[in-house]
Amino acid sequence: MKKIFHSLKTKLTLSFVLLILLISGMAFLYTFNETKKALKEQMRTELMSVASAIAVSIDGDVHAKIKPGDEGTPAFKIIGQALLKVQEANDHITYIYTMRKTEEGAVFVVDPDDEEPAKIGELYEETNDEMLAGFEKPSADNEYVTDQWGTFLSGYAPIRDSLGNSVGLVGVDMSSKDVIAKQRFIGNTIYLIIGIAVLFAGIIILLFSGTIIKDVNRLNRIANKISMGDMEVKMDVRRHDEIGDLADSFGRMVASLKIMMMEHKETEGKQEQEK
Amino acid sequence: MTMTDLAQKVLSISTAYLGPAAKMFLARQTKYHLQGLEYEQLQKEHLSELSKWLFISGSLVIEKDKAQELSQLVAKLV
Repeated sequence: MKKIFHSLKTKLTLSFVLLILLISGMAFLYTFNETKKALKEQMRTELMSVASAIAVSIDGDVHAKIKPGDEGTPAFKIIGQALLKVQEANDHITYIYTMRKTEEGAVFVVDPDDEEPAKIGELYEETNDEMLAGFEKPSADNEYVTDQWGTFLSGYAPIRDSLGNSVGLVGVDMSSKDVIAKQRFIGNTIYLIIGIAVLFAGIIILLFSGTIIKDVNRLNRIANKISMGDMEVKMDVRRHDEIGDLADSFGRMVASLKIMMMEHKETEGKQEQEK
Repeated sequence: MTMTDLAQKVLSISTAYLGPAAKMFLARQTKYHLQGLEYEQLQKEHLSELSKWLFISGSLVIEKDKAQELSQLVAKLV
């Protein structure tokens, strides 16, 4: 076990795999981060576009006249149905509503939600800068906003009356779950690609280092035999790289040793004959 | 004794295959297979025979294919 851990093959393979993991990890972090940003930006743009498209279709003069208790009026119902149609056409939209600005803050006007609709004039307490900007121009949250209905990324666009004055806004909420699911899918895809690449790179490195180490081990065995006095070694390492050069040097060394030993034996034989 | 240019060339080629003992090896070959010729006196007419023995004796100290290579390189000097 200790030998495997200290072997050149293990060290080479491990260092290459670690290097690949490090590089691919950094590439993953950068790519994932940039993809997340791009995805969020795409969502923000989409939310603003949807909000703007609805806002221009709403009659601002009618919207301005809706007051608390008007939930059953035709004006409320027409705007509510228009909002619902857009919501039904787009799976990603969780909530869609209109608001107006009062001295107290932003209050709901039309919320066509079936389950838990906000009442006309109900104050929204989580107002942020992006929402307030939405009363003047299309805008979208930079970060997810959590309120009593959940965590959302929202887009806003102003509703204007016949004179062009802002009389409210359209808010479009997309659940953070949808965005996170998309981000997770992209992240998993990148993970998978990197995983496959690392696996293939590992196999290639293993094979590559295997051929080098095989010849180094062979040279090592030859050197061991020579060190134990065995000159009948076979120098069967054939490479055209540095290991091949090392094998050639080894071959020369062995050849010289053999020649010198032969010469020595001959001299010894002659000396004994003379005695 | 001064070495002929040809002997110098053969020694240079052989050293790449046999190492520092190349001269000793070549001297042995000329002494035993070229009628006791001093290696330093090597001439072109000896090359063919020397090349043959470089392969035969060389195969005892280096791999056969290397010995063949060495033999062919020396033979080309003719």
